Amino acid sequence: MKKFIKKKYIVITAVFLFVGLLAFRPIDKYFEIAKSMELYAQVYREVNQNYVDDVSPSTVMKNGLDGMLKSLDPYTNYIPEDEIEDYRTQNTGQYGGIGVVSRTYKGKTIIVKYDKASPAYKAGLKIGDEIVEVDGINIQNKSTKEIDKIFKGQAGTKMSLMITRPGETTRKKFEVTRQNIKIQDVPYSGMLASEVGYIKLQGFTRTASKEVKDAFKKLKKEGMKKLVLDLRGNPGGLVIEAVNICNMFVGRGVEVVNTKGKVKDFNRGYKTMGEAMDLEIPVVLLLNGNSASASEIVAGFLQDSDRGIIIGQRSFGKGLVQIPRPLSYNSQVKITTAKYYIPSGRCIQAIDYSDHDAGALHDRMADSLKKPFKTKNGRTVYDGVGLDPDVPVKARKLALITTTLLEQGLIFDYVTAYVGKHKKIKPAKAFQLSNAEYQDFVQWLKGKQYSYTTKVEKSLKALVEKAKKEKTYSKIKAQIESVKKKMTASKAIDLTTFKAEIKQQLELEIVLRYYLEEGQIEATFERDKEVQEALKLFKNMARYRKLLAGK
Amino acid sequence: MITKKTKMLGIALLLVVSGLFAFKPSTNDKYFEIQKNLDIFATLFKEVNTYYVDEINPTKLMKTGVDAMLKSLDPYTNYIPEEDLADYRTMTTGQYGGIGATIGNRNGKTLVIMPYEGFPAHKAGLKVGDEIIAIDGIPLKGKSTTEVSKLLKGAPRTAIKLKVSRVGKGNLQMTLKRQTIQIDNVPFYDMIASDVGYIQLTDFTQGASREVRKALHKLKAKGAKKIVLDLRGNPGGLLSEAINISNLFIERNQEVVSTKGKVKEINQTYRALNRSYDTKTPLVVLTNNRSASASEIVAGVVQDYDRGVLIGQNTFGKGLVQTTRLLAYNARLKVTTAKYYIPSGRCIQALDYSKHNADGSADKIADSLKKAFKTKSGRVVYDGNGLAPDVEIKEKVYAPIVNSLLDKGLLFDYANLYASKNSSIAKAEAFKLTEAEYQTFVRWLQNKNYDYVTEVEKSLKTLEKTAKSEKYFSRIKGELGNLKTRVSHNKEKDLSTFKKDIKHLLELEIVSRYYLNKGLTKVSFRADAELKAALKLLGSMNDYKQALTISKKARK
Repeated sequence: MKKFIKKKYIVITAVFLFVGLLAFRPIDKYFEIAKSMELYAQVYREVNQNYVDDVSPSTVMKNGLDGMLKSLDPYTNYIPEDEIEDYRTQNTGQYGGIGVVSRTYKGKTIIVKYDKASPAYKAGLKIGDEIVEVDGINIQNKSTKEIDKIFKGQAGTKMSLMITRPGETTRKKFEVTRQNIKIQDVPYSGMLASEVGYIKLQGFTRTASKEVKDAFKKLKKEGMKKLVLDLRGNPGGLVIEAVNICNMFVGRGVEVVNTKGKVKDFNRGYKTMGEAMDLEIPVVLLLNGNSASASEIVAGFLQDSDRGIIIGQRSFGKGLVQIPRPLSYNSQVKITTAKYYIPSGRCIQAIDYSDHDAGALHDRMADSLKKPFKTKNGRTVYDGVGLDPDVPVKARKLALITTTLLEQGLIFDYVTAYVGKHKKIKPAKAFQLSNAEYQDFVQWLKGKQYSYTTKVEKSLKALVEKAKKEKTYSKIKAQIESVKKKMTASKAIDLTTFKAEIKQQLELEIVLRYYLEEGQIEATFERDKEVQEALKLFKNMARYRKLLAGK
Repeated sequence: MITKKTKMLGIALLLVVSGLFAFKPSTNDKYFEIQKNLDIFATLFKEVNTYYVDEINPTKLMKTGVDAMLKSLDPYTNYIPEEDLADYRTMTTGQYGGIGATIGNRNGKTLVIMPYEGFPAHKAGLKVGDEIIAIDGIPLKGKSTTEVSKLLKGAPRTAIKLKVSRVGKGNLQMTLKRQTIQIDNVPFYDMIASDVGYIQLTDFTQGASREVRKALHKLKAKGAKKIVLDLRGNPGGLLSEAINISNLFIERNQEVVSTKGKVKEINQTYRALNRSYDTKTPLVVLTNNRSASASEIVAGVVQDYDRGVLIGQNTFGKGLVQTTRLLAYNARLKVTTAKYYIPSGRCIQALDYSKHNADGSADKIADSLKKAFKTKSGRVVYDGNGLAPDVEIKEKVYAPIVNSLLDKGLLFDYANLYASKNSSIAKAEAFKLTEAEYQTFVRWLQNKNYDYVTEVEKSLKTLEKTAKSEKYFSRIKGELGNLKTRVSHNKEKDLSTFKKDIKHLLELEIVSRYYLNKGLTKVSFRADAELKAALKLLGSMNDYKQALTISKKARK
């Protein structure tokens, strides 16, 4: 699945230092740096000049820099000039384009998502349309990176798209004007139940806190007395936005987070600067293993202040802060400069990267090494492993058949055909496929090519190879064959075994076509275990208070 | 590894002077791109050293970067910092100052694996199996082989004190004088049949060709009318030595190898400049998949000129040549500058490093892209995948029980015990363990931990785990259970099933205690399938000639 915006786990602070810090280093360190630089430069020149094949100087350099920085941690990155635009988009959430999410699979680029405000929607493009040409250039079989470049451009510029639409025989031409697209940090907010408001926060770009505040005000008007803030899958972003969001619930002058690194000038505490929006409102935070960085600051701060309950799974565990530094020729380097600490005093970084030897294995911190800290109310929390939820809910994993049907676009294609046959459907929250309709899908699949190799089959294959090597294959051949047979039989009924989750994915895709992302989010609530757990907790406020009191 | 040190260095220095970019039309663009990237590197390196959250070691960080950069090219382009220079020199010259023994580490113990005959360790009476406890008073506990090796090495004529523990003798003190050790390229040669001489060539450091020539000479004097040259496990070395060894067997002035690279000055054709030593004697060259580089030049020349028969396994496939370049601060860069081509015109490089996968690995050259070439007599050979032997012998694979006994050092330990109880044994060629002796060994094993988990058993565990996580387990549980029963091994039974291999390896260990490397090599012949095939072929000159003329070898 390709998105125009790639998100990485980043926290960027807008702090810039201007002092020459090398000045206070001992002379021999300075010499070591100079010597290293000279040697690196020499090796680089030699390779460019004498290597047996012609090599691209920029690629060779990037490989070297990437390898060097990777030995530090995964967040210290070199950003060459031609990737600067994408990098900026990560921070601002803005880019010039037509506002679609497309997916390129087997050489075809298909629109899979947009919102009502997008130029693509307004121009009449539809989800399911295959984009064949852009400004006369055939984009079939181009890489996602190339296509990405073609789509982006200055606001106001025109793009001419040639598309094929499923069910129609002739190609269609569309003129679309690029706009400044702002990726929403809050793609959805609404009431889950009477008194319970829900805000989904998916990023922390510059407008994140404003969007959350606006949603909060709107929900209050709709009668919200309790809030669910959904941070699942949110990879983080700007620290300051996290601080401002925390501010909504605690008021002025409270320290949210402080950072500590080698360079003392970077050590600072971030305090809330404004008035609270609501000091009392009960809050539930939804978290999962992909909630990282700024998400963990918000959730960690509220946990350490006993200001909210975390429901879901242990968070990612990124406790490192990066700043971007400009380099020559418009390139940049993003450097980890500090660790951050939330109010109980813990740093939640899960993987210890401090062994900077190349190829060093960086393991998750062992549970036995984590240290206890106390929340404001004296509840015990730990460092070194991300945030543990106060109410754990087991993560759900889709079966291989389901991910295969999604990845190979079969659910998508079926829904495109379905939409062609149905003018309208029931409201998002109420929509369900009947068993007969699911059977129709199963029937439709019979004519389709799709295959998937389960991990079981892969493991079995590996076993056979080992057995051949160890010369015991003939001895176990019969038993292997019977496992294989049973697996083939099991796979044949996968569509029945995993019917519930496949059906749900179909329903979600259908709802997306009629009600866009908003409708899709609403449609999930009913089957969303974490959301249901939050609603259950809010019905039992005594338990909510007890959890926060640590009893 | 091929390192054309001196010659290439000269060429390269010349190049620098004459302006390197003259060979490309887009010179200025490329020059600018290099400068630009260097500028970016310099700013980035300073920034990271200054601002990174932890203290970092600039030298290490730079080396990591350089290594990553070079690894993206190929595995043979390497940066050698000054501190690794001594080891690097040893690799090309075969020389170092030390005591002349191979050591190994097992369970934190430093063990003598093999003293070289005539060198200080051997003369002072250090034995295979001795554990070195301390060097010059420094205890070796917990030290790696690399660390121990540093302690052992030193300037010739300096004294070194060893504290050694020997089975049955307790602790011993000995003082040795270090000496310049010259590792033999030909550690063994001898007659292996009435008219067949055998030469084992394990390396290509300076002097390799002289050693081969000398061995040939001596064998001929002993009546050798046929020669087996063993290149198995020989990783290569100096190109010049490979050329000179090839020269021994082919006519003067014939082309041996030519190198081609991006820089024109690298392109050279190397010929047999010396008078040949022997162009007629029937020759068999033994190869395996660890015969690489210079080994492949020698074997390739022999094959392409139909000068001898290759027996064994497909060779490694390294067709790239490196040049060593001097950098600042006494560091070196070994950089791949050329591909080499053997007389039929083929390059045998197997992995295509001009394209890399996303994970950095390189793929083998596709079969469809391999080209056919002809040897001198018209036999069809191919490029792109090492050398295919003319007579293929399947690689010997040991059963898991055998590997377990080897890995856990139990054969090694038992040989030490055996040696402590028997002051002498029969001649190497004649030495065999009796059935009773083997049973003594089996009894000795009873309270030892020599159990193992076979790869198949491990795979089965993974299989069970994935079945559970993918929710198929309950469906295939019964079948997996049956499979498990079949897969499980019985270690006691294995000792008799694989007795032949185990006994042979134990005999090798024991013989090495009394007759060192020579004895070991002699005994290893007993179970050497490649060597047996060589003797068989050389026993019938008709077959030998046929192997060199019949060209219907479908190798793809």
